[in-house]
Amino acid sequence: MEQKVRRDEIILQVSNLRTLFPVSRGVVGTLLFNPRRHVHAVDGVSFSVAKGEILGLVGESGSGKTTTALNVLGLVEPTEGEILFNDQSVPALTHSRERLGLRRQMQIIFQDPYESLNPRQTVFATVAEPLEVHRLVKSREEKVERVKAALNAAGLKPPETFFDRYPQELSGGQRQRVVIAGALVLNPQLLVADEPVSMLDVSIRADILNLLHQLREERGITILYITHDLATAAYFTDRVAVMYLGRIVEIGPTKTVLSDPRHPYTQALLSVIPVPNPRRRRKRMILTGEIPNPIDLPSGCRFHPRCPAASDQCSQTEPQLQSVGANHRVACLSV
Amino acid sequence: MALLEVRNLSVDYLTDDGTALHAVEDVSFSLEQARSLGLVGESGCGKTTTMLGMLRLLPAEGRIVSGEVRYRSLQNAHSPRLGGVPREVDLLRLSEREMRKYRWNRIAIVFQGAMNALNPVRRVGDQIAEPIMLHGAVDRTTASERVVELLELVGITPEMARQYPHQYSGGMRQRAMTAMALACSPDILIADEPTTALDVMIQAQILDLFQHLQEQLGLSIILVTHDLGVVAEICDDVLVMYGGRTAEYASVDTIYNEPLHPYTQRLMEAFPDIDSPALKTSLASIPGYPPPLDALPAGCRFEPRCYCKSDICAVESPPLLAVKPGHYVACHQVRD
Repeated sequence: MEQKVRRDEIILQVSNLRTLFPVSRGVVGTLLFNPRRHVHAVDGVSFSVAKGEILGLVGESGSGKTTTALNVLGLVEPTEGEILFNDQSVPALTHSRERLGLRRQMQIIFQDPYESLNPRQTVFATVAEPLEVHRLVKSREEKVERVKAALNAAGLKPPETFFDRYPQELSGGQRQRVVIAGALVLNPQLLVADEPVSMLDVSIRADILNLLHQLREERGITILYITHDLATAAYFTDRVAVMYLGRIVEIGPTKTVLSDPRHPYTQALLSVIPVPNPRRRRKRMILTGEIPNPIDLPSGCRFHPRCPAASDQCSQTEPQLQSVGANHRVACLSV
Repeated sequence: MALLEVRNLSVDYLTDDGTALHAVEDVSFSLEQARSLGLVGESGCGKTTTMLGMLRLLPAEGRIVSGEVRYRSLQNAHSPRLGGVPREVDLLRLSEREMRKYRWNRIAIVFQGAMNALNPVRRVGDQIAEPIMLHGAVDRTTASERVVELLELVGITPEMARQYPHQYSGGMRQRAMTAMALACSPDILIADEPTTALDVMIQAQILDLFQHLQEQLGLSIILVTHDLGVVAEICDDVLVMYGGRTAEYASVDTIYNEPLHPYTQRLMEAFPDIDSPALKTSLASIPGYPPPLDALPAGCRFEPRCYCKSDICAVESPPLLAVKPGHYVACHQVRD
């Protein structure tokens, strides 16, 4: 598995990414010149992804994982920072034609296959649409061929039988495969999968995850896998980055992070993963409350109000990512 | 006798042309006080229909074909709250009027996605007070005191009662719905996919809440879910359903460590286990799809997807047999 990843070839490089969303002050607030406040969705994120690698971005809702992905795709403008995709800066591409060219190489799969498909479009129309948008085919025959190939690659076989079907005639797993086919039809280099299995039944989840894994093995597609579930990330990512309140708190090879989690947040996330065996029921390290409001960030370490191991220093000093092993970095003062 | 005993429950759905689709067939289980039962299976296997049938809340097309739902009251037979109901009844034989004394009062249900069903323009506290005033016939002041009590029970600060649903997060809304279900102090709480749309940490908080309620109130819980991990964490017994029938029914330990039905075995393999000694590189999946109700297989429902079938499986439906005391399996390949 590892040898497929060409570590030397970095496909995506994200440095010091920050994305702030302004909060409305209201009429009164504006008249009183109240300071403008911001939601700190992503606040200083750096990572790189090698060609053919699967990186998991893991965190609870509100951790900034989806915003990071949207930044990477050029769908949300970052406030600061640099994103290099194949040495080309993503935010700098203002010209729509250049953007279109870049978008062809990166595609996204959304969480809910029940909502991301147009109910009035046939499978063929859905999968063929990107080809038309990008003007990639010259003839009807070519279009049919490419749609066929994409459906095949997404595991919808035989592809012709799906051409004229509508989303409501398909099961959840089949719908998600149609979404994947729509992404594959452009032969992208990077696939962002945003919780692709969380709406699906357990028995179908494995199918979709195995399909994504197979796409990497066979086509060398780089995948950014976004999830709140470390358990599914464990199965097929090469590396994981755990995010909390807009920052990466721990990043490293999946096996290392799972067997030796160093950040208390990673430890807590791991402890609450349900164990499918009652004989191994364990003490869950349940964090109280939820991720705090990203407008008023806690001082010092962002995690300290919920951290079971917080000391006085944690509320004052913001920890930086530090190396604790091979490719394994953690942002925690007590490590 | 157990607190609740469901015997041979069968439910049909009638289509427009009058065909009866067998959604649930011959399902039996029992639930003791302060115990929890996990009802497990893929989408469309009849889990929710079983629950709706039990509570007589089926949609207009639904018909209870046969069965008994025996409920034994824990309270004094002449308790004023129950209006003097007999100790043991078959819920399916009651008049609709009598049934109302049990539904929500004794057996409460939190539906799937219920946290999205809160009225967005009414304060959460007022919404919880509504069933209390309706079922308990109490005034507003008594009801609001009860609301505070209930919110504390589920871990919501009383001040939040005055907030609106949009000010609540998903986990908080699920807690509020649980508080509403507990309003009339039921003996049994049915939770249909209570944690499916929630983050793992919030899911852990909700499971913790259920265990806490069980210990504190002696509540019995039926957890309807497709998530085997959740069941392993908090359930005592497990009923695995497939295609409207019981595939396997046993204690949680037996189901997870000595599963006998091929479907149960496959489900276990498909579930990610990060503690397994050798982390598999790929998860097992169950090829194929559950059977649609209008094209159920003639024999065993799982036969088309089964990996160890024989000739008899396609023609004859396997009976549910006890292989050991308390361990029931419906499979031709399992003998003694």
